[in-house]
Amino acid sequence: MMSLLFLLFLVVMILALSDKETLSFKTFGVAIILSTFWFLHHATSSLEIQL
Amino acid sequence: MEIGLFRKLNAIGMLAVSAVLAMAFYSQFTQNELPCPLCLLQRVATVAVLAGLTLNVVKGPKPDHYSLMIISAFFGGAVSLRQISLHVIPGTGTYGAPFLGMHYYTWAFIVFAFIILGTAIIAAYSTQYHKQKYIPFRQQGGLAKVAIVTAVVLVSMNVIVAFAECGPLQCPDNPTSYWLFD
Repeated sequence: MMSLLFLLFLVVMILALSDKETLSFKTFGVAIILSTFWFLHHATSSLEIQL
Repeated sequence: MEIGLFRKLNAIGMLAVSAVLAMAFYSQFTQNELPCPLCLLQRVATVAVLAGLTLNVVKGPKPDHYSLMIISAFFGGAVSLRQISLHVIPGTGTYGAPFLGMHYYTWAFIVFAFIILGTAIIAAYSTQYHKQKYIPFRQQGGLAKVAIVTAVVLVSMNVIVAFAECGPLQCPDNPTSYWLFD
């Protein structure tokens, strides 16, 4: 999932470089929504890092 | 002239943000510190800021590109603040080794705050928004080319390294080894 988020933002950059601004904006929207979902998933779960 | 100046400033911004990602990689590979899920999400936010900067360099500065950068930095700030809150109470431990007296998630919060501040200031110069023009990579100046290549290489590396560490599913909360090499 984390690599998918990086990949989506890489696609945004490539679309920008290819002069496809509208599509890059839409991809950005999808990526940031997915990132927020994944953040909420991790923020609400009990993390086992050194507390 | 002014439009070219702001494109150059955005290219310099790309290099500065890329340096943050490079620093994270340096720490990961030299100190063998695997990033936790929240650490990776802070990198995701940094990459999202790079995407906004790329749009400014390639298509020319526009308010909506700056908005993408502010949204990305706000997201990154929220993630880093969540991680700071996990460790802010004395005796609750830390994640990773400190760098110049502060942990990487604290540095990340400061960096995202400066990105929001810097973007809000530079976006206020309305003269940069006239006569937008797409400039293909081949016709970009040397500085912009270096900035774009550096950013694309670093983001591609993040795709590969995140997959190597976490695989297709969820990253472990406290990773100790790479999923791909287990």
